[in-house]
Amino acid sequence: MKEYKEYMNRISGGAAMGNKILNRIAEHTQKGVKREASDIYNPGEYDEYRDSFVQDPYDFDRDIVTRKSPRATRRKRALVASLTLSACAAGVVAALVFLPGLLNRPAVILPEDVVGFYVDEPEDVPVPNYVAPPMQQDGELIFNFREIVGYSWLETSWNLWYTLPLTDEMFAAAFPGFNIILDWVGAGYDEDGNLVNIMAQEIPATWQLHYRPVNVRTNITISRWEMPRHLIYQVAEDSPEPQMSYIGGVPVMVIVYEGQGPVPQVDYSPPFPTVEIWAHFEMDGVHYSVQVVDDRESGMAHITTMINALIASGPADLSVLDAVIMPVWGDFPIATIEEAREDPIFGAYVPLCPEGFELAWGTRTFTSHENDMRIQWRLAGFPFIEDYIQVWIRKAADVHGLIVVDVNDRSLFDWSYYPVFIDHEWLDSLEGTPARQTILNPVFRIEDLTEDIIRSRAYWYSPEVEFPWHIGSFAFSILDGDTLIYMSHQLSIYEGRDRAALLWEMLRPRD
Amino acid sequence: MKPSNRPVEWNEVENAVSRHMDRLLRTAVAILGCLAEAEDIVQETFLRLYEHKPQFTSQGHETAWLIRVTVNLCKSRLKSHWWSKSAPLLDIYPAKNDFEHNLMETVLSLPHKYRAVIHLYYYEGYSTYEIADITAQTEAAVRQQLSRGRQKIKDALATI
Repeated sequence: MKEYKEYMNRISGGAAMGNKILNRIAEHTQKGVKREASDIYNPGEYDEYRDSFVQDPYDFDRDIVTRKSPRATRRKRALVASLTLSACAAGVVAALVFLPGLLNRPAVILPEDVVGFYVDEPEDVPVPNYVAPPMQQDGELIFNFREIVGYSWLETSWNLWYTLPLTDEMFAAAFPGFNIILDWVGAGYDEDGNLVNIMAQEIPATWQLHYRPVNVRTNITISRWEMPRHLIYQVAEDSPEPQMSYIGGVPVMVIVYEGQGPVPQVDYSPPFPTVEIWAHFEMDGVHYSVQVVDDRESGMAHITTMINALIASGPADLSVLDAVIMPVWGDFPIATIEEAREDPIFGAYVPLCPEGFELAWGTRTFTSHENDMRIQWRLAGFPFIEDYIQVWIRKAADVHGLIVVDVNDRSLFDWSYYPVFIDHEWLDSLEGTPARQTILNPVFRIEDLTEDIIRSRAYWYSPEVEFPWHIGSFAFSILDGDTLIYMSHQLSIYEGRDRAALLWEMLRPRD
Repeated sequence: MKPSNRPVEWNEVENAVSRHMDRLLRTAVAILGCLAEAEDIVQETFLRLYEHKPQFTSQGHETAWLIRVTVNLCKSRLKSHWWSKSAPLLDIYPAKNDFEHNLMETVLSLPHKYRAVIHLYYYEGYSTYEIADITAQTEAAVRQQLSRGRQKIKDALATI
């Protein structure tokens, strides 16, 4: 991986970045700005408390606050059920089934002493039981304006294992009276299948940014408890006490943040000065957090509409989203070829075990962004010989830039047309030619595959080369319907002809 | 680690920035794949160094602490909806040849958890045991992520 090191070594912040860092530290110490929760707690206690929740979001064996989060038991039935519900990772939607008897999940109750799920708000945002003097009529939102003087990203201990996109029907079941159309709504669940929150977003097309198309105009988070925020704005110490609003008798706190936080700095399109407006309220035990980013006037009008609509819609019924069949995600080892062939999606595409080989390992991966199967066979009885044959099976729709070769043009895939160098630069000679796209991994239709074609890919290379990818690939792929099978191999003890025969025997059509 | 109440000399801050800024930037870039966000993370990391004033037993201890904070801040940022607009990393720091470009493109397309361990292993030279401590997970998980990350890179480069 020396190329990786060489590339990373070229990344440097330079003097400009160093000055930026020092200036920020200097401003922080000199302005006496309000900090986040670490100022409320004793810094030592907060640091220990916060450090205790540092965890890998993918390691669910650790405690979340006082709740255990044991690794979920993965039942084969649930796995098969999950797999049959999904055609590809991007299209996974778990069925909403009411199975109160089958699913014995704990009730989602926030213990009073659980603080890990909740990070104290800065002092300028009081908790909902703050009672403001009756200075305004019910039904009018009071906007508390704050100048951003700094901001902090906070670590939080909650995590979402699975996000279920909600259909209109599901959303209507939970929020029967809410009638504003939103662009995306999802329910987030932890690993145990407990509902963590509902997220609803408005993503106007003109607001989608190049790399993260989730810069939203409106972001609504609804939960049974107040969700901790990742981003805390720091405002001037002399800010006036914020005033609570009352909408339909529900106390609502609205803060308008203006200035140089991370969000207003984003280059939105169209470019106009933006503010970020936060509103929090609780209604019948459900916590609502509404964020709007827009120009000042439009944002204030829009959040007013949102808040009024949410409160007017009445109490949410989150229990309708509690019972959900969770997809069983992860990497699952495959113990036998028979087990691989039982897979409802890829089992039919598993080749025969090559003669003289045995199963080395197999993995079935099923996550939000991967859905595939890998199997490797090794030479039986020769543990010190590293020869192997490997297949990687996935849906063709999950592969970008798939090019199926015309088998009549052998220059696209036949290694005998090209000298095999141990230096990757030989590929440069193919730049601009169709062969450049196909020579390392040609894709053949299953109906075009012959032993002769496989022989053209079963090339000999020197085992002295350290990194196989430096010398090109002798792999190839087979497109069988909508499924792609990628085959790679290292067969040092076989001559070219025998190698091709071995692979053909694995793949040839059976009567 | 309990923060101390000792005053921090400004030159200590400058020295720390000078020693560690680029390393932390590379770590954050490796995980996030975005230079603007990574710069933010690095600023925040040094701010925490200044605020908490930890006492380190060695240079290695200081480095590991800073990297650990950087990794944790990256994890939090990944959970957030709010991201800065930024040019692709490979546009800002172009690769010097096709292979390097393909390699970096492949690495940057890996899941974040794989990128973190790959960077800490291959660039920083940490052992899996040390990476487990930095990323707060088991050593077995680190080994698995490393193995799978390598395999994914190998497979992806073979298809290019």
